[in-house]
Amino acid sequence: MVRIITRRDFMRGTAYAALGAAVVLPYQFKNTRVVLIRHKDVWDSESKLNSQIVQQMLDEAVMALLEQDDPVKAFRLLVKPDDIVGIKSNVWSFLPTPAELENAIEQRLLNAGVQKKNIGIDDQGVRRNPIFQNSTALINVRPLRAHYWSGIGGCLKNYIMFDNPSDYHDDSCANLALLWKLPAVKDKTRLNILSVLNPQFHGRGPHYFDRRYVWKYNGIIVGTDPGVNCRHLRSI
Amino acid sequence: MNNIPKEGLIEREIRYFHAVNCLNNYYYIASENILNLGKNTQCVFAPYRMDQETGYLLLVQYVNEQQAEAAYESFLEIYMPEARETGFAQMENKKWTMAKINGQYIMIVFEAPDKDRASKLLSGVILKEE
Repeated sequence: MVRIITRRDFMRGTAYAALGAAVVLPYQFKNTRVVLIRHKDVWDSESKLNSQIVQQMLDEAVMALLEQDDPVKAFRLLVKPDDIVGIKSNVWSFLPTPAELENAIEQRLLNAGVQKKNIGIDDQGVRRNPIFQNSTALINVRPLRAHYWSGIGGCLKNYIMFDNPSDYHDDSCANLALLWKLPAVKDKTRLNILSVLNPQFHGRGPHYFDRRYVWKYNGIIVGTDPGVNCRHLRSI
Repeated sequence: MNNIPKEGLIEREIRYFHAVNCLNNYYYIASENILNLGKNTQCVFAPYRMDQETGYLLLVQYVNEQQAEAAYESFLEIYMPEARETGFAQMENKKWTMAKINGQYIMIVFEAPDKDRASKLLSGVILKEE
C-alpha cells in the first residue's frame, strides 16, 4: 500500500520518516541558497546583451552563492582541472540561452583550470556528444519561459534532452524530476543557472513564442538545486 | 468568480484549474490525488487576507454528487481523520482547516487563523447546481 504523505506530515516533521530509509538524513533540513542578480544596463539601447556585464553578473552571483571573494576561486569549488564539463544549454530558436552567458561560464571554467578540449556546450545533441557521454561535471543553463504543459520551462526541465522528451510530457510533465536520476546526469550537476534576462511569461502551446509576452527582467538566477531555482522562477 | 466571497480576496492570485498537479503547485496537499481531481473537475483556489496572514479557499465542482461525496470522504479520511464528524480541525501549525460538502461541490478553507474565520469564508460561497 502506498504511504500518502500529506502537508501535515511536513508540519509534524514526519514526512522524511514516511519516505523511508532512502532519504539521506543529513540533508533533510539543509537550507539551499539561491542567488538572483539583476543589472539594469545588461541590455544596450539596441537590445543587445553587454557581454562584460553578463560576465560580471555571473561572477557576482556565483561568488555570493559560494561565499567567495573571487569568481575563479568560486568556480574552483565547483570543478576540478581534470573534470570533463558539459554545459547543458538550450537552443530553442526564439529564446535560446544567450551566447554571452555560455561564453561567460566557459571562461570561468577555463580560468578554474579545466582544459578547453574537455568543455562542451550542447543541447539537442547531448546524448551523442562525447563530452557529455564522458562528462564528470555538468553546468545547467537555460532561459525561463512559460511552458504549455509543465507550467514553466526551467532548470529541472532542461535535462529532457538526455532522454526521449515525449516520455516526460504526460500528466503535466509530472515525471520531469526523474531525468535527474539518469546515469548521464545523476550527481554530476555542479551549478544551475537560469537566465531571466528576458523571460517569456505566457504561452498557448508547446513551442509558442510571442514577443508581447517577453519582458526584460535583466537577471540571472544561480543555485545548486534545480527545483529551488524553478520555484523561484514561478514566483517571478 | 461570482461564487466566492469578495471580502479579503486577493483577486490577482486566484487560480483556476482541473488537475491535482496544479493544486499541488499552488498549495501542496498530499502525494496522492486524495480529492480525485481530474479533467472533469472545475477548481478555484483563492487566497484571502486574514489580518496579517493569508488563508485559502479551494472550491471544487464535481460532475455529480456521488463523486463529490467520495472525494470528501477521501479527503477527511486521509488529511484530517479527526474531523470526520465536524469537518474542521486545527493543524499542527495552529491554523484551521475546514471542509464542507454541498451537492456536487466541495469547499475547503486552509490556513485560517481561527475557526470562525474559516466558517465565515465557507458560508460566503454561493453554489449553483448543474
